Amino acid sequence: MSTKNLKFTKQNKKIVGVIGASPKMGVTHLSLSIANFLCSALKKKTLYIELCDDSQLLAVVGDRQINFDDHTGFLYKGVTYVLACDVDEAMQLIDSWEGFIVVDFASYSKTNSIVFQRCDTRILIGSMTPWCQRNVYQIATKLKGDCMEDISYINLKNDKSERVLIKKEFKWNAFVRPIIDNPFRLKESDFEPLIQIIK
Amino acid sequence: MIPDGISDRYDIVQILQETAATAVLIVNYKKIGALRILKAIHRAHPNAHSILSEAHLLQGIKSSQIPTIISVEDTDEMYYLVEEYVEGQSLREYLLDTTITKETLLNIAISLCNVIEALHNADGGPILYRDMKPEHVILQNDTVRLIDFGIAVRKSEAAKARPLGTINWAAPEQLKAGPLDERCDVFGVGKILEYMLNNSFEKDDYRLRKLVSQATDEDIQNRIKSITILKNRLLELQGKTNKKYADKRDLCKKIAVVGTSHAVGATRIAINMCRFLNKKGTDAYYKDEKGNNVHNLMENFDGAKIKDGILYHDNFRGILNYGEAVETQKPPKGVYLIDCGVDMEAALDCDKIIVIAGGALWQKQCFPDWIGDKTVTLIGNMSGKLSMIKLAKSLKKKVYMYPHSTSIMGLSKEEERIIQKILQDEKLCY
Repeated sequence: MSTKNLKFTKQNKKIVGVIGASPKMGVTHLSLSIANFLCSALKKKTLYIELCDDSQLLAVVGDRQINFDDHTGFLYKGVTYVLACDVDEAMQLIDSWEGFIVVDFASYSKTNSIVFQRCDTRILIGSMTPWCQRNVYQIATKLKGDCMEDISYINLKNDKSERVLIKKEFKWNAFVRPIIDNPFRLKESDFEPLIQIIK
Repeated sequence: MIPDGISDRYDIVQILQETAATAVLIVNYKKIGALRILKAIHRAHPNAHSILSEAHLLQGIKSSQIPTIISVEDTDEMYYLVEEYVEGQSLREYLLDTTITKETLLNIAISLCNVIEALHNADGGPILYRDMKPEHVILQNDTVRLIDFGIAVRKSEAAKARPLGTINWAAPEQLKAGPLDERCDVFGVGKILEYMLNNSFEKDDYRLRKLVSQATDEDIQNRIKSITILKNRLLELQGKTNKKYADKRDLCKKIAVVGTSHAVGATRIAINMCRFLNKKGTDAYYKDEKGNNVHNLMENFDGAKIKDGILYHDNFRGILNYGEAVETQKPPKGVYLIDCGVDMEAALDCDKIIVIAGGALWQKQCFPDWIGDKTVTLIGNMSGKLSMIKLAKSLKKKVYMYPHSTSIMGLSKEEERIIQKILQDEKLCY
């Protein structure tokens, strides 16, 4: 793997937001992979914000509770997790955290769009299969008023025609979703596709 | 209480220990005239079954260094266990009038590790010996044997075991009835090592002292994690590394580079030595044990490559300290330049130590007690010739002067010359 795409690591702060066009697109899986990559592979101070009402991750990462800057979080494999976070808390964390931040959006809405607008790297996972295509157009409509630009679109399969269509329709850069077996046990081969998405 | 009903087979030679309900005897087995140990316990004694459990424990151990159980028998009143009588001198007796060499010390310690390793790898799960003391280590010419398994226990049953052991020899968690694992025996072997060290010609050997302190750390989390690790560390000290390393022994060295204070250039010298060795065809890897220097280099080197946890850039190779969420990489074979910063303790784990001293008057230089050791090389950096001559005189040790360098990323001819001289003179890896 070449280090030429690692220039972004010189930044002290970078916010990465991940949303899904449809449910079960693998938003949490990709968010965890990015957070663990930043922390364990690049040794960056990393905060993971789970923007949702009910935490999916408490059972996995909730062993070691920590308190910082009036927030309660959990430390797991070096990453600080703030779970079941609301928009106000997320905004406070984004303002105060000195380091890299990964925001896992359970669902994109008008309420949390303000958080997505703050992200430096905005990632949308979607699929243009006939039964999911409508969701992509719907979320594109929602994003139009907020932050349509600079979206990295991740499609689930390696389909060139889909990537061309996405570029033509929405002017988004499309990437193939990296296949990562375990976001808590990354392999070096997982690094390159993650760098492509984050940079 | 001497058991009845044994006189037809055994003659009592010596009573080693006797209470109202127990006895330990040296007996003569009449049929073949062999000495044996007979341990007897009354059926009504609360620990009556301990004899049976000792016999069960010893059954699954594949080692000639523990006594053979000959039989477990019973009479109307007593259970008794007959085992091999281990002749020889205990380590305590031996060290009463003998001062041992480092070689003997290492031989005994490694042999002791072997028997404990056999216990920890026993069929049916690890056995914790729990009773390591010099009286239980028997020396028979070149063989070391371990006796008295009275309080040994299976690891799976250790939580229920009574907090037994000898004060000053047993691990603190053992005496406090804390959770037990194999590390209680690491502590025991560490204490034996310390006892031998105090009765040896190598009392001040800093590597052995360091090993003792790591094996006998009161905090179980900081203690050496297994008897195999302790044994390998002893083998390294003995110069007999594992077979897998033997082929490339000269190429598998850990060279610590440590500064006497901050900002004396230890990192730069370690990186440059790594570059030099690779340039000359020796596989060398820079490793920063505690910091993230290699990660910082990764961000700043143009055109570097990463493969199997190693950062490659020109002649530089650095080991990346990945965090817990990245798959562990197999360490490559070669010379390791370990950047210890100013941590002198960390440097003690390496085969050779290079100490970097600065010459600035405002820098407080901290020289360790072992600076005079022949495995330690002293380099003066960023300092004048006069101050280095003074330093050499005060420490009575050769000081190499590292040249001033103008290049940020490269290796100047003068640097190459001095590194080559240091490596050759000090036999660091040629």
